[in-house]
Amino acid sequence: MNKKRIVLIALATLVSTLLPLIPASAHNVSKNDAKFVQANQGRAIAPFMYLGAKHMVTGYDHLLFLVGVIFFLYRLKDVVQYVSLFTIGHSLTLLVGVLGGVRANSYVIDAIIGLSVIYKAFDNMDGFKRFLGFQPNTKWAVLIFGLFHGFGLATKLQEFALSQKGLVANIVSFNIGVEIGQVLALTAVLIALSYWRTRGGFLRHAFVTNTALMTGGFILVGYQLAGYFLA
Amino acid sequence: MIQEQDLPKLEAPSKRAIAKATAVAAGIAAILLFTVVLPAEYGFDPLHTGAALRLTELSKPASGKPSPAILPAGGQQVLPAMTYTSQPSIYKVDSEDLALHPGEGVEIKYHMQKGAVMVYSWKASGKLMFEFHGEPDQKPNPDYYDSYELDNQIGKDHSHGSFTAPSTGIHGWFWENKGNKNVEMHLTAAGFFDSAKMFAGGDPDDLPIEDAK
Repeated sequence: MNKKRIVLIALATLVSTLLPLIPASAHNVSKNDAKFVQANQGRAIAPFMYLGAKHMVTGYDHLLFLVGVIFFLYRLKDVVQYVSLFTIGHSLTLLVGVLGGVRANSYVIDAIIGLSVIYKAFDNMDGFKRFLGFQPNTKWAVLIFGLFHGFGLATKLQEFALSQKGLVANIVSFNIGVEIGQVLALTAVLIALSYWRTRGGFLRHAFVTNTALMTGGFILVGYQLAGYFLA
Repeated sequence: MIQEQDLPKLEAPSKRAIAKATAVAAGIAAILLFTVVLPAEYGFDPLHTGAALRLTELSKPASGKPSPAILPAGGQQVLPAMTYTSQPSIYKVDSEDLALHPGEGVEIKYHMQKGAVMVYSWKASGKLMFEFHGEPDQKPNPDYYDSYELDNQIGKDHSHGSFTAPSTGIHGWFWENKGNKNVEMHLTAAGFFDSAKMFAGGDPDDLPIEDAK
């Protein structure tokens, strides 16, 4: 490994590590939002949409996974296709999870979400091709991990005693907000990636970037598993 | 079928390179977790790096905004501002038994005049995240609250203490069961409060309180 490469790894790792730490409670619905959710009675379409969008834009675990997914997607058509699969997956479990009152342990779910980041980074490195001799279907993988991300969203929303009044409207609003937030975040990521691809270094640094992405995934898994055992 | 990779990548990395990268990623993650993240987030500090970098302070419950005038005597004796206050009526007592399912949260608050005092104890069968906080009757914005004691990382199964209301308003606890088992808890409080309210999602319920005998 040459020096430049080491510096790059160090920088990328630093960024992916600091990201989770900056907003200390980024991944939880923040305290004041929680109060709102708890005090809310009946339909509140705009506020729930806002909360959904905020959760997605500040939810670095979902974002890291999406960066992994679209990393090697060059055509808009493919981006739309994969992101749609992710959306179908997480919308399904968000709705079913909240309506059915499925309560999963949020640490376990968030650890699986971290695992999805590791999986995708490993996939991007061609790890599966090299070690298994084939690449597991990438569309199924996005759909299945989408289901877990949705359970994460459902668990977050259920941590607060939701009023039964207007529940469906509120979950749907939250879900629409999640999609809006996802589009916003994806647009930013795509702009950055497209710009980077026009520069020469993209393919050369792809491997390093995915290593950093994987590091972020490992940190998320460790952070959540530690929470499960320590909290 | 559209392949995910349309454009040629550089030749696929070797097994060795991938294994190395994965190990490096896991290694860096482990180092950062044990030296920085876990000390800062959970106060779990096996290598004492958290203490050295003062990161463990982040995981400690934030000391409330209205700096508590009376600290528990920790070496230094702090004289309370008021050693004696008189009150017009007999003090009230209240005790509550609650059960929290995983993921459930509940709030109990007492309405107190500024300077009024209460003593309290709560005990639970498991760890609960909680925040002891208050909302003044006159607050600058609807979301305003003062935090007195917060533990939203590890949680506690009990807390005992005394409290002097820093403002006229409702003061009490929000508890949340973040574990995966039901938790039962018992709260008992005595002091100069005039009403009690429970918030569990919907409209607050008034809790009956009794005069001390």
